[in-house]
Amino acid sequence: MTSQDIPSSSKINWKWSIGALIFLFLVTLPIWFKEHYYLHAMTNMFLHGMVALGLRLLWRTGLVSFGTAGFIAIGGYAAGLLSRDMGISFWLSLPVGGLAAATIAILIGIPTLRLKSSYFFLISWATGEVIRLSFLYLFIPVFGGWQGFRKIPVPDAINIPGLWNIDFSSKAHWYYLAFFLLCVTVIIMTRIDFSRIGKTVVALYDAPDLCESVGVATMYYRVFAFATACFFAGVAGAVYGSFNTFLHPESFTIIQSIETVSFVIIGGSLTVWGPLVGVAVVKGIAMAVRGLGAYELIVAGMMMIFVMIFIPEGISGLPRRFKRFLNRRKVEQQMELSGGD
Amino acid sequence: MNSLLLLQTVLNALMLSGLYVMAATGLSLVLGVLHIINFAHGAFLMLGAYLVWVLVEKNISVEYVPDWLQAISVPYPLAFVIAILAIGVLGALVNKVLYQRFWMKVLPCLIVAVGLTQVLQQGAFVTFGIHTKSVPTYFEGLVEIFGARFPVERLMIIVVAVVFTVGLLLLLRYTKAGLAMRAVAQDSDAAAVSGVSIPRTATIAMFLGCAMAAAAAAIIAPVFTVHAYMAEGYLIKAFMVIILGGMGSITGAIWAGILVGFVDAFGNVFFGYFTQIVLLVFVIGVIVFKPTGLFGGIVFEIFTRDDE
Repeated sequence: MTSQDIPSSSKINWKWSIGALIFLFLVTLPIWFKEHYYLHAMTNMFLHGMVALGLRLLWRTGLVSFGTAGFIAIGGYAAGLLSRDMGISFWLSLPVGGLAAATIAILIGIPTLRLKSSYFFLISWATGEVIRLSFLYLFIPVFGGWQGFRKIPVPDAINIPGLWNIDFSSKAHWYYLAFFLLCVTVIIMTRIDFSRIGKTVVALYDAPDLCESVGVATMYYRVFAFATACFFAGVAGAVYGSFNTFLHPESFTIIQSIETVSFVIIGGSLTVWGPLVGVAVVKGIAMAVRGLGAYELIVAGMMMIFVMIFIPEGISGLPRRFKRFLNRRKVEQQMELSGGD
Repeated sequence: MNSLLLLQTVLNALMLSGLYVMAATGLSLVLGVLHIINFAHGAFLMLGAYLVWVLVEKNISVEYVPDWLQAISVPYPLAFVIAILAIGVLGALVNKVLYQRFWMKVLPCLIVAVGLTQVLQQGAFVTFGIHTKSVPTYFEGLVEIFGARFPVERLMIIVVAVVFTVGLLLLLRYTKAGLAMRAVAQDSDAAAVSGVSIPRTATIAMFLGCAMAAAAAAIIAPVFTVHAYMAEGYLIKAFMVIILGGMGSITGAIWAGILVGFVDAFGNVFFGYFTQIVLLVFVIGVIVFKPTGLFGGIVFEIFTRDDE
């Protein structure tokens, strides 16, 4: 008798009800917390969540990218150039920023993704550095160099007649934009997970050699995962740039790349919710404890070590582990009972 | 350009080469023997520099450092030796406590090393504050080499680099522990079958690697400033060196270190920061087209196989 054979006794679908509650809470959050601080922090958390969700897909192919910050920068700079210098609407430059990051990811990915994960770590790190240094030292009249990329315009207003005029003058508007984009990302990632591509990606992680031997184009899926991850990083960067109206290459160092990786590690990559849990835990602690400041990175680093040693599937894997533990207990008890008879 | 500037640049290039070689050989040794990517190598270097500062400086007022450590002030040469031994022991401890759990699992071990780096670097940042520290110069004065003036402390970087690298090479070549390390690097299974204790060899390699990093830190502490994120630049340079030299190859790391040092020094004089971008792109090209490095050598198991 295995653990799966025991039917769940609870009638309520806990997973969905908790999810719906959290969704409702997040939708109504600007009503409960009017402080700009919380809305600003939550907007940043949503953007981090988007990047982390993309990285999760890459992590599931067995690769880890240490250059994500560079691709966020590409998205931000590309969208910023379009909307500031060419006068193109933000709503068009947003996907273009993502596509720019994805295009560069494909160009870099095709020669380098055939290599093993240890090499790809080094390459992604070097790529991130090249992108950062390029924004610092190349095309200074365009990118601004050490001055940073200034005066990125805010998005055009969306007017819903009689209901709401979203002109991005208040933090709540940004909050809803980031929240909407995160929801879209979650839906896309869930669709990918349940599609053939998602299943193949998991198979690539578990048995890469077997996959290749049965005729799966390993490279294609790896490039797809990398490009998707970088697309969402680019979109997040585009929003980030417009949100702050300012970008500086020094905000996109290896430390930021590591931060996004740490969300995936701490939260876990088994489910779509994993990286979001990671963001919520790491950034949520930092948001709740305002004095934490410089200690945030220490806490995140310690959690990375702790999670890697004791719960390799991440925090989001804890309920599953707990359920398995309970089931095993139940099986043992039943066996004991039947043995007693 | 005149010959004096050329000579000056060559001397600076030699100094940078020495630094990179020292940082990279330790990293390469750990990579070869432990089969892990020790991302925390730079953090150990930074800790070594701070340790030298704490030991040499008399009046430091740092909240979290114990009083007895603040009170003592030792001459620089003694601090140099203490830093090397202490950081070496720390590296061996980290190996025992953290890295040994992930034997042959590259990615999890890399993540743990990254977490450790974050804890150590940000910990140092919180402890010692945002202000950079400087260790008082021990080797004072200038020497004149064919007309070019060169500070003695920078010359000492070259001397220390040569002494330590040659020492490491001799140790690997002529001692039993060195033989064990070379055996584990070549084929860990065969080495284990032949009676080499892999955990012990790994600990020794980690001690030596971190001690090399600490030696580099201790000798550059008086020359450059000490701060929590000082090691990031050296770490990426060290990784570039071991890629160019062939992963896990010590002699390759030496030649590649000299190459990167010269490219760095001359490039920064003639082309500015553009050199860094070109160098990074070149390194990516080397990984893609010639993963064994420019100087031959073998590729280790972790680079030919996926993680489980």
